[in-house]
Amino acid sequence: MIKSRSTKLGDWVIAFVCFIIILICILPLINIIARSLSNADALMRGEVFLLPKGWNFTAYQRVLTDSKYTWSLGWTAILTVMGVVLSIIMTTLIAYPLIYDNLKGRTLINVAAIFTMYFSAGTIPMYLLLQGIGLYNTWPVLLIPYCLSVFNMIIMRSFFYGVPDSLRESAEIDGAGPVRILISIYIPLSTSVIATLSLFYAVGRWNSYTDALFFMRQEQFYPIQLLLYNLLNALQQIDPAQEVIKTPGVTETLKMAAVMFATVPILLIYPWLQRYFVTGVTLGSEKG
Amino acid sequence: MTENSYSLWEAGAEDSRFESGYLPQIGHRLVCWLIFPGVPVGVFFGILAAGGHRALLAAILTLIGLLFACGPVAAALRVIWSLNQSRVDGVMLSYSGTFIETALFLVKISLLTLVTLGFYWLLGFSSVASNKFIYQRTAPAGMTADPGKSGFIGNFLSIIFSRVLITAIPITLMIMTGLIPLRQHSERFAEYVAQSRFAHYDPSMDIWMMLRQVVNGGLSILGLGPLSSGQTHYHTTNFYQESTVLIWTAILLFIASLVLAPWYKHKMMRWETNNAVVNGYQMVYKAKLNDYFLHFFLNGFLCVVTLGLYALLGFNRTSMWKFRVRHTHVFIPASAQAKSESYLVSAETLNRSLKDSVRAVFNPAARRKFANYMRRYWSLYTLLLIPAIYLIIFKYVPMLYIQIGMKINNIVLPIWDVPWGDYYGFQWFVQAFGDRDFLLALRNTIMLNGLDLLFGFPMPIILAILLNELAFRRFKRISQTIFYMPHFLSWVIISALALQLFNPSSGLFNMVLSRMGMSGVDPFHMSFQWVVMFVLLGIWQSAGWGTIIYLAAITNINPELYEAANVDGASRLRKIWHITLPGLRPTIIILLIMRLGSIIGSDFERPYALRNTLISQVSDVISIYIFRVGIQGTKFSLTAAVGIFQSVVGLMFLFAANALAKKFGERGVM
Repeated sequence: MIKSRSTKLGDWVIAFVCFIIILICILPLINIIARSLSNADALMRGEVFLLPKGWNFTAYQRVLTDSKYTWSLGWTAILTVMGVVLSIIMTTLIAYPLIYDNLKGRTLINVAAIFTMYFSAGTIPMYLLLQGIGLYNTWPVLLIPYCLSVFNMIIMRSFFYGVPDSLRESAEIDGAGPVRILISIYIPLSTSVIATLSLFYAVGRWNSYTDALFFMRQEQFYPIQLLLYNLLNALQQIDPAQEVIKTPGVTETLKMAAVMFATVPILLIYPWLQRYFVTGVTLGSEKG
Repeated sequence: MTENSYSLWEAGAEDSRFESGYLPQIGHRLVCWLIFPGVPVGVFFGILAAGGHRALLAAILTLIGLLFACGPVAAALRVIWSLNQSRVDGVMLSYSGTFIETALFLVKISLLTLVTLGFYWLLGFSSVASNKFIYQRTAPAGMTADPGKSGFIGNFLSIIFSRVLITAIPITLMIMTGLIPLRQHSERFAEYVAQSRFAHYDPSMDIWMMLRQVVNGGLSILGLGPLSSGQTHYHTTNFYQESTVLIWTAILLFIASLVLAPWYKHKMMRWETNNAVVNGYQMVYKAKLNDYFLHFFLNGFLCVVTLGLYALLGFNRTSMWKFRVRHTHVFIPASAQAKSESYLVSAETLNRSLKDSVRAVFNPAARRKFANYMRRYWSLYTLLLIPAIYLIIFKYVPMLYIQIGMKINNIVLPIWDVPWGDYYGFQWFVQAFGDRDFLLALRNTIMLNGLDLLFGFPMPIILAILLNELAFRRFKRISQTIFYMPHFLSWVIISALALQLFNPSSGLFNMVLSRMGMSGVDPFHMSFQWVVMFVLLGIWQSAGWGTIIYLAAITNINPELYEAANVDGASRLRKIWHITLPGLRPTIIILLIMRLGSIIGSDFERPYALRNTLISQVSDVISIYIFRVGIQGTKFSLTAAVGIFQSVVGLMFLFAANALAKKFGERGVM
């Protein structure tokens, strides 16, 4: 922060504390990786620490050959992509008009949107509504009901506010309409915020299982997290009817391998977007 | 100038007319509202109560006696008020209104009188009240006489008084007479109606039916189906249903008015102060469209309350025209006397301004302006269309469905046809608070959120300060990336991780513990350990992510402060305590408000992923309760009521925290 300061003992203490926290963050994950790659017997004996004992890829093979699992993985990926596209479109559509200060009804829409952040009808009314309009237990139910996040709308709006008005005004003088301005000025300038929000929406879609648990009955449309939840809980109770897994040791490695598949995609993406989402969260907090 | 209908007095001229302060105004409102709704409603309920409640009847009759005694006082106050003047720029001004205003006001007053008289006539004694309503022309309702004097608080109090009196009295009386349940009550009343001259009441004129038809049409356009399949008949049997609706409408409107009325008053004040003297000219404020809107809103409110009372009595068209009175605020030219030669605002201008303001929307210039505006911005509305439809269908329509929390549990009938629950719709709230599972869920929600707040909330702050103090740049960046990582794991995955980590036989944590010679832990089977684990996992997952906001706030702190502290030789801890933490204060407060707002809200994914049947005593929060009892057990009404409770209490917490933060001089969230 201040360049002139020399490194002191205190700095080393802080660095050490940070190092410990880093260990706390990643050790569980490393342990999981080690477990997923370990021999079942070594796992049973409690020998697996941070390195796999008795290398063993069968768990990964079994997970990859399990058609239900791979389908769910693919289906969640499709859902995530569709969801992100839909959400980004919706967010842009509502955020962009709101930056026009002289738009009549702007305050109304703003308030109507932000109000839903603080007050929601709750689960049961949503459930009844989805049944009422026939979305219940169809696959769009995993996309549409929660496709617009007001918080993300605020982030995008704040970002749009940051675009200099002079750009918009000069385009208006040249005869461009609002839609044209959005497409040729605002969207190209806001790739970073779009990337951020895409990450937020994608993580949200990839990681959530509540909506499927509440509103979905058909197993082929279960997203990966719900499948995983059922798998973990079924195995936890060691259900005899579950014929997938025979011995507990294999169970553990198999679970861990399944967990790894659901974790890795996101963990591979987020470090590259770090700079963007930090800005995104900051923008959101300023206006929120 | 001579045509001007405003009379002026010389500056400093002494005048013996009254100057009305707050007290006369408050008193005046108090009394006149007591007389208008209080008396008829009191009489109405007095008759109803006569069946078995002598004491109540006596009390009401006493009240009515007092009200009649108040009548002359009210009339006198009205006279005083009508003579009211204000002093602007040292010139005493007397308001005398325009012809249209006077006419409208007279029409309004006579309508009010007629309606009230009608009320008495309906109740069977018409001559009593005929001499009571000696009205004088007064200034527009809601206008304070002297803008320079009455402050926000004065207005606030006066409006609270009047709102309380107009709505609280009917509601209180309803509840008082509700000592006998309203159902019986209404039946008795229906009998009364049947014996009276209103036996031939025409149900096709029912206001609820009219409303229903309108809403039905709207909903069928949206493809949501009609509200009600059958026709509504005005029978004794569903009379109490209607009155439950009525009571709820009245209560909600009362609450809404308490919130909105002071704001409206405040607006009025601002319009009035718009009449400033600029460069020696009195600027006359022309009423704008939203003035009319607000005015209509308030009158509409009164209208609804009164209509509600009429609906209860069984006829509702009488007063439809009663409240269509609009006021224009035409103000008096202040320095007209002093600058009579150069005074620009003529009487014609003033009169024209009245017309203009009424026809503001319809004149050609405004229409052209509007057409230009639309030509330029129509595409923005097109863009907004889809999100607006989304918000309406998925955020606001569910709010209509909230009503099932007030109705009997039914999964066959359309929602709108389901009858209302007992205890005026409060049946499920009563039941939930007698339900051990719900009370447990409530306790767990508050407990877990409280612990999160206590231990989880400070963690990001500590971590952010730690990161900020970290001297090694590259290491800092790597640490940040890794700290953010847990946020990207779902709770299912974290629960799998925790299951492995805390596995009694082979888990990493227990392995370490046993090597250190300590006994192992098993949080998935022990309640206390589970709670500890729940809180710790919460910190693990979100503390790193939470630092982003604090780090951004730290970069906004002026670096000169740190330099000055360095010159003074401040230690690191001192700098943190005296510079960093105060710099973070606004951010901390805002996040704390949000956290307090969600203290009763419950996340579903986290507890549900971590729970199991062994420790459900501490893990089942409200959201899990709603899922298990509501969706799995199809007790929709009970859980919807629980949901309402949760939302409303959450909102109250948010408001309270926000108000508290503002009281301590911080910027709130609203």
